[in-house]
Amino acid sequence: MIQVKGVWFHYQPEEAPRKDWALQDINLTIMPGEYVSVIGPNGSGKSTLSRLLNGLLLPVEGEVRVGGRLTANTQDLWYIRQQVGLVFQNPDNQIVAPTVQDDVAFGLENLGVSREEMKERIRDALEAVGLAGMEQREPHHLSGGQKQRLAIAGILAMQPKVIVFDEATSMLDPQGRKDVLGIIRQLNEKGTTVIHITHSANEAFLAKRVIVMAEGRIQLDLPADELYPIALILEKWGLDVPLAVRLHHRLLGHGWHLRERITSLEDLVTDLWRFLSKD
Amino acid sequence: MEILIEGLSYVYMPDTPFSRQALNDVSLRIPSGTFAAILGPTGSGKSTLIQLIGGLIRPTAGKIQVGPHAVHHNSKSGSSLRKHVGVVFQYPEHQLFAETVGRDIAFGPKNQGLTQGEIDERVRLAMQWVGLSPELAERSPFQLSGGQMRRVAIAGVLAMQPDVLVLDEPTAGLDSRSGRELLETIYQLQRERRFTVILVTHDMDEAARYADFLYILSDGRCAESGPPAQVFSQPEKLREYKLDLPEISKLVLRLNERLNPPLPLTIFRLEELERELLTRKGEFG
Amino acid sequence: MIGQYIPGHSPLHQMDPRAKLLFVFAYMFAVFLANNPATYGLLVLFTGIGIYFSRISLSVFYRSMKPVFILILLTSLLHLWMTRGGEALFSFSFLTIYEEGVRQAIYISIRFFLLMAAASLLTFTTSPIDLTDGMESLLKPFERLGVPAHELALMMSIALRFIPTLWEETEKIKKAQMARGADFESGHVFKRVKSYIPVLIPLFISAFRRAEDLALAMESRCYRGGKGRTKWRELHYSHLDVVLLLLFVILLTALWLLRK
Repeated sequence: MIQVKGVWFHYQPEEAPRKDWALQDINLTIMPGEYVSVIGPNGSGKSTLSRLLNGLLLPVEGEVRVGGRLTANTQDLWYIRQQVGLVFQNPDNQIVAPTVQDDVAFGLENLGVSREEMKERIRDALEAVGLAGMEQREPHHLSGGQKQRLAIAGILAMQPKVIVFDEATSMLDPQGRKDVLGIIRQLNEKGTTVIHITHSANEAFLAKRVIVMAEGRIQLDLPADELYPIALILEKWGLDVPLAVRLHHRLLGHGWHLRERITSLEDLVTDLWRFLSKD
Repeated sequence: MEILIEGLSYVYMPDTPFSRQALNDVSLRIPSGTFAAILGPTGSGKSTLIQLIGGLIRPTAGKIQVGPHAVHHNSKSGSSLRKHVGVVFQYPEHQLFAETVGRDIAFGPKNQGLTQGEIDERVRLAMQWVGLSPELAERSPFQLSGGQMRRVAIAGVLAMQPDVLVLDEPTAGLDSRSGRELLETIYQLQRERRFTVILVTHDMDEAARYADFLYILSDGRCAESGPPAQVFSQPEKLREYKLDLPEISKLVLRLNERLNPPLPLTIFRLEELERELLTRKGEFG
Repeated sequence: MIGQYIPGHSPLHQMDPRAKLLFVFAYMFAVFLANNPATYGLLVLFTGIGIYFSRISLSVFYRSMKPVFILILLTSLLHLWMTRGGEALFSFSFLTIYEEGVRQAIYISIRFFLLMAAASLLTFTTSPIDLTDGMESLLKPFERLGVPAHELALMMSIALRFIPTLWEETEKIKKAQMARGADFESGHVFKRVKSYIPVLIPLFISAFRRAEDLALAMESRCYRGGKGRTKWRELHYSHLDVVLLLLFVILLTALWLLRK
């Protein structure tokens, strides 16, 4: 679905040495239906990457293809942006229209969708994010979580194949975050390809594949259940390590007979139960 | 300084169709030198409460007393509190305005009417406290990284040397390392200088790790208060207030499903859990 | 605030914004046709009926018109004082009030009131979005003459969307600077203006950041100007608008017949 080949990027490519570039030699293939998270500290280049995926930015070197089409081809740009939706970090700054339904309509108007079809798509999109019944609300009367769900609805209505969430949960309260993460999961279950960019390890491990970025490069690209057992390595880039992994590591250090690799909190809990009740 | 709040209420836009009661008869006491955390879901009145403590709005009813200074509903302004309470709002880097870091941090002390010598000293100290190297003083704050900008903004409040420091979600939007380092800095500073800190947070782990005392707001009331060990040992109640548990408490609860006797719910650090499990193994092994 | 939209379902609310806009525009000229008690009376009656059918309570209407009343009072005082003609009614040292002055003061007040009332009724019963749509639609024919109707409407709509957000932001920054000892209330005008610099600079920076973010968000939602765009909002003239037109024609005829 998305292919990133040998991509180098910097905002002022002439001025910075290549080792300081925001993106350095990024190679990546995302298949249809995947749920991928990209995790990295602030300034690792992960947000820049998201903007290259729908042609908001173009690579200085290398290429990005969506459904086989190059983002560098101007005539394909609208197709690509319809295919790859982007949900940004700040919920306030991506809502264009003064009411909920007008905002969902915005992208559809741009695509030239007929009014009849808009009605259906707006209804479905608002339903999918749990904002049905709030069509007439003004955005500034919504909570942060609701605003972000509205932003998602605006993208959903455009029926993209891929949705990129660019730190879309980082400005939300716990409830808002939970809601958005739930929607992300549902969307993926229904077949949407999801790329979730985050600096929270807990959120990253909700995906099936985790890409670790730091200093403009992809450091790791592994299935989540392969990364989890070795998640201590995340500390190297200042990322947090799931609590279960840290505890597991410490207990192994004390010579406890637990399995060597745990792939989830469940594994640790069952092992501990067994271990503590055995003797 | 001790903070004493009695029967505090606040109504937004009274006598209009949009009128909303943000706080309803809140009474609480935060002892001097405490690291307090205020918890509660969005809309529970946290931000109203800290603005009242900071003397930035006047109460509809009741009183706020910070040390010897009190503000009532009929007080002319909250300026007597403002001199002693420093408030760091959410995303405080959005309030930076001066050409250089030094001048921005100096804004508060200058408004306090200090001499140039004193101001320079305050700025130097504040930068040192938050871990900004002195040569940054001449740089534009807008060229710094997000984490550094936030430190500049916090230094701008610390430079006023308030007796009470209020922080509204100081780690929001930072990655976990920057967030952890920032809170650690504030925690150390508070331990050394013994001022009162009020931390507003959604992150239960932060609250559990740093706070001596927690206050839970729910629907404009102070629903619960106590040390973390007490508050977090009542998971059902927290759920009722729409609050999460610290990650570690969730793990302990999961383990307790099949452990007898259960692990205590007063464990908030990994080391404590590790120790508890080790003794447990010793006992039964 | 003067004439802030009050949601409702009154006949006035249900009229098409284009009809209401055109009406208010035409009404502004109609008001100048009045020149005697009968015509003014007719207009007041007409406006009164309008207020009645807007289902806006008189107290709300009165409150929103309060600032206007002060203006009316000032201008009528000015007329009382400046206009000469007719019999002198009252004299006190340098001040003499003439009959013509009283008449002018009353007429000007009524005219002013009528204009403001019509404008308020428009904004009371028409949501800003509908107003924007109405304007876009009315300006559409002039697009060929280079009037950027779509862009103007989009700008207005974005402004509507962000005014409350920026307002909140202003309040927040103001409080943050107050917490740092900033004083916005005391001192002479120059000092007060200067004290707003620490609010305005962050506000501008934030507005620029928001604009940048918004531009990105719009682009990634395939925005590329007005070409090839469909519209979600549709405006429909209804029988109410025809009623409004008929009433206006009757009003004009009556004014024409009654005026001196």
